[in-house]
Amino acid sequence: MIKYLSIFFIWVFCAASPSFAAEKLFNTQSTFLKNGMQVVVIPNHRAPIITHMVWYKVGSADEPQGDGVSGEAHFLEHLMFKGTHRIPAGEFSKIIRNIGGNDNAFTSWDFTSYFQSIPKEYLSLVMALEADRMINVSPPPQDIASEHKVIIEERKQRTDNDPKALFAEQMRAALYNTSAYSIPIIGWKNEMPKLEWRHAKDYHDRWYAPNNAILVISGDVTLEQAQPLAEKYFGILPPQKIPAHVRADVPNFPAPVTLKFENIAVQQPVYMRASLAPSLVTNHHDAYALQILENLLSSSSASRLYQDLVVKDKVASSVELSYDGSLRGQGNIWISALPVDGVSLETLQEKITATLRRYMTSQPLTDEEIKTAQRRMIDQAIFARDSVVGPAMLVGQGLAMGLTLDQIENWPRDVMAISPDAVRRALKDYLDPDAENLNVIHGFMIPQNEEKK
Amino acid sequence: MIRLALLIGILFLPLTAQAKILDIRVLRDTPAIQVWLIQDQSVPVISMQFAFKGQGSRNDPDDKQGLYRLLSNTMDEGAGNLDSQAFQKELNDHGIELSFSATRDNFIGTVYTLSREKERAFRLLGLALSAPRFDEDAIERMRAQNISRLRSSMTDPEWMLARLTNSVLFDQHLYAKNSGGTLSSLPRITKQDLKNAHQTLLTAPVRVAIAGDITDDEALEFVEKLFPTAGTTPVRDITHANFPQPENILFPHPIPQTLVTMALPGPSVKDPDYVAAEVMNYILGGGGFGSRLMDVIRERNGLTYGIYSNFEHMDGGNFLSISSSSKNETIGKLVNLTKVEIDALRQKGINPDDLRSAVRYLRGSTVLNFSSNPKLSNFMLGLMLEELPVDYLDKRDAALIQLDVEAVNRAAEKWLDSRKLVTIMLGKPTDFPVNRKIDTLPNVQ
Repeated sequence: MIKYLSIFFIWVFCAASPSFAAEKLFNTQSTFLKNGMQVVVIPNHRAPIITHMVWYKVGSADEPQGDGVSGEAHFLEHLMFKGTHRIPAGEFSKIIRNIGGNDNAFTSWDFTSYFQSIPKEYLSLVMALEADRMINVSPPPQDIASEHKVIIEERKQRTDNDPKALFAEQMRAALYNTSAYSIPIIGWKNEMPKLEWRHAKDYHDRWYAPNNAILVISGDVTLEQAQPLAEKYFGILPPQKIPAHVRADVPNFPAPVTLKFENIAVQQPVYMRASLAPSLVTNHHDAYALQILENLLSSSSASRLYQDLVVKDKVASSVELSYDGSLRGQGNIWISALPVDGVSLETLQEKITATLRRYMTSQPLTDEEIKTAQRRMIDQAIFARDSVVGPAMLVGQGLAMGLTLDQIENWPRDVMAISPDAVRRALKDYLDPDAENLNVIHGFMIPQNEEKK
Repeated sequence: MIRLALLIGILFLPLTAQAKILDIRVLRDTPAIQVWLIQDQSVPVISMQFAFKGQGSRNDPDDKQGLYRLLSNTMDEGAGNLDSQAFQKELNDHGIELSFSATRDNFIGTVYTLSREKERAFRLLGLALSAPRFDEDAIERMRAQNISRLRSSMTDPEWMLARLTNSVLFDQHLYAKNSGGTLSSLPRITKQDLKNAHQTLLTAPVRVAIAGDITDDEALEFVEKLFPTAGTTPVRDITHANFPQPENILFPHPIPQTLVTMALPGPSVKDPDYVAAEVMNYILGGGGFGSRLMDVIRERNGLTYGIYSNFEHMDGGNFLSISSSSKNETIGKLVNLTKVEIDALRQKGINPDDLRSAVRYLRGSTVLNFSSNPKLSNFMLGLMLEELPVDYLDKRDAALIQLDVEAVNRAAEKWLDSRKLVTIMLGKPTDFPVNRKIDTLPNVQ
């Protein structure tokens, strides 16, 4: 992990090793190319392999709104494998397989990522291929038509076939209401058929440029080795003006929202609660406090929510709280719980509400609990280094959604610096069941009994 | 702007045989206990994965399906003087991941810890193995969670098809049971059942794989304390499942997209021609993008999001299975095109380019799997459970270099007979005739 450091510094790190909190998350090396493209290298020399990722700072939330079409960000991601002027459709992945590598890509609301895991000898090859398709994507019409069918099949497989997925999609739409985060990344079922090449092409022309991209390379390489190659392949691409990312904040609605989905296909009742929260980008201080809170309340069966609702009250068979702060705009908090037999979803909801209220009154979070959660999180950062792909994912995602490399690297220090009071305040600010400004959405999935069929 | 000449030059970099792909140290090698270690000090963590051989869900009694799953869920719910909460808190507060699981054949344990917590981690594992409490309260919680999980799965088409496939392929065999238990079997499992299963568990042969920041001596010292009674009873033999007659089976389900699994008998990992079969499978559908099935079914015809073929290996049977999905109106077309590709591979064989690129991928990609300690320990455990030698990867590499087109064509001739295909669907297909409908998922209620 620190092999690339000058020999003079090694003793400093050895001496400092018992105090993990002071360490950087991954000890990355970074630079910018002249055209504005950021290059980050995460050296890891345990195996002769490399994960090479190009992250675009753009996702489905940047699609044009109100045009009755959705999913072009993801459609474009698929079409990026469909050929350029020089590489025929479908050849990209075959070339990668030919060198013993794997490749794939994914699209989120805020970013799009293309990656290859390869034996290290082939770094310049994958750079050449990625640089080529950044500016030269040009799929033939028959491939556009077949890929359009593929993404509709993808939506059926992920969402339309599964009542839980359909309900989660609706919950999210209700939560994010006026924001582009309300729209599924893959696109709405009724809007996907209208997608054409021109939608994907417009989106590509607007957003895909080296100054809106980040190159992240993890594995058996150093910045010294990678930088000349990056200059050669990516450095020659022209930068362009990139529009601002618009992320609408959801207004505060007065009426509480409850969605009830009673369906014959549902066998297991589920209670879900979704609410808005800040993200690492909109308010990193509170976001760290919420990450600590998530760890404290719901990281194992020894955590508070499980102990109170599953073990003591015996109203739930499982309960989970998750906080997603990895967004450029507003983040979100979800609580989901399954009732034990004989307990109604309404009772479960009341118990969860009462439990959260107690955490703010009679059973406040103690300093000791909070500090233990912080220490657990720092330890997890060590495990995060036991991977080649993992660190590249974390760094790429953070940078692509709008964090700085320093913010990412100093995560252990900044999490440790959050005070217990700040964590308790975050609980009050973002999980108070009596607050009226959080746009809480309650969701009930209810098995429809046979007689009602 | 991008220089293609360079691309092509790079494509033909020679892949040379390496001295030794993995540096595995064999610390114990007896029928009762095998211990393999890969030392790696790049991150201060240790991953250990082990298996009690033959102690998986195949031992579940018919009326107590889910017994070994429930055993795996309850063994980390308190041990010795630590109740469930105390035990879990001790793990969580010290960053120790410890869990158990049951496959059909084996009972698996995994530990992933910072090396500075190794004493504590292995002490807690020792407690969980030797003195699990099986407190009533914890059993009831785990029972309830399994029932909830089962009810949730009952609306998951992929799970439903897997359940159905299992029952069809293993009709009348031990593997036909539902490892996760059924709605009626889970309530029947008693504390005494768990205790009995646990007692037997500890006497089975054990296979231990360790990777990370630990020395030979430390590893051996921990292992010897952990498994004092291992291998005192041998593994019970399991009969091989007979492959069923070819059929087109449907579970009717009102969803817009039909899921399909197509199955054929497959080779054992110990088959002397296994690498030829591996290459055959890679070319057919194992390679994802670039495989023949992905090319025809997804890339050219847009019929699916994905189609994959892979080998499944169990002590009692080996299969080749192909999985995919397509909207109800085109699933028949997908199945027919798949058969055309299977037949073409068998009848026309492969060409030298197919072989070259498959060998390049299978050789080159091997090392991609070794990027973390859990991946290393998991891989080693797999080798041990398949009873493969410690230098298996080197032997495989040599075999891949030697492989010729004829060997792969012989494998295709042997394994790719579409007349034997068993096709199992879940959905509402409109363009495909079925021989048999199954209206109730077996081993769920």
